[in-house]
Amino acid sequence: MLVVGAKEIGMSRITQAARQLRLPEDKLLGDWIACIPGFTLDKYRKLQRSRLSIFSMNCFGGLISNSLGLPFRSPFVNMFLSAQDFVKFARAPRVYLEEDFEFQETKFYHNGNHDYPVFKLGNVVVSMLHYYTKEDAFAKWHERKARINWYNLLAVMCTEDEKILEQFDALPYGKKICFVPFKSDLDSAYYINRKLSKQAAFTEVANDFAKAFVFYYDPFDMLLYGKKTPLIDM
Amino acid sequence: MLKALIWVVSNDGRFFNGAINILERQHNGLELVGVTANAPIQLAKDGKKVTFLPLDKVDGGGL
Repeated sequence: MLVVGAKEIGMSRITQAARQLRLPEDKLLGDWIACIPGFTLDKYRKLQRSRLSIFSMNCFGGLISNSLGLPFRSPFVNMFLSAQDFVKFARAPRVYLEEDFEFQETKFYHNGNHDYPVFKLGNVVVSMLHYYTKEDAFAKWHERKARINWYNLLAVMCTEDEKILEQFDALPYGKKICFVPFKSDLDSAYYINRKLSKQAAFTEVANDFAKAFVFYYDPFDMLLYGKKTPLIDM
Repeated sequence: MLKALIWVVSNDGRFFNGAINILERQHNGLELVGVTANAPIQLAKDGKKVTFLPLDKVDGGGL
């Protein structure tokens, strides 16, 4: 079932509507998704059925889920941790996710012109950047935490620090991606030539990929297999 | 040959032709078995209803 015109609406609302209309959700395909480089129907169906959970240092996980019409199967959506805190978390995710998600303070997001809540999860700080209230952030965190599929995880982050890349690369994840602005032989290093982007912050260079503005690597191979398939010559 | 049902949910036809062409090429042909739409789906993010247009008036072409 080719869904025409759903990109701005979002597949989550389309899927809800399909459920109400008793349409087969696993047959839905957003038209924009077929136009993403690397798309094949076979890979996309496998990705949908794989029930992937993405542990993401920042908005990348939520953004790429939106771009590929996938549901959020982790609480790492619309938020960020520092690179060091994310590596700490990723070393022992089950332990950290058993910790209380404790509200600490409110900060101001200048680009969005709104306050956002900051939480502590054990000894890491989770900034729920795109949430307006601590109650909403708390509820969404727990709602999405319950959806984690521990049998299919992808850990993704970005850093400009080679030492952090090395620490991340040593983590025991079958699929892990670390966007870096330098070339590296490490398997988890996904090099992005920052000269290809006008974004000042490297995190935004990587997020442009997640938002489907530019495709440095085949996103289907990345999420399905943890495989590095460059799409442009960098 | 792939069979597809078109479900139009908004007037955004930017990707329609591209998706049809890609599916047709990858599956050695595409049979469009029908078109459907559900007006209540066509809500923009701000909750306002978007005026529904028949498929042949959607930018990006018809069947």
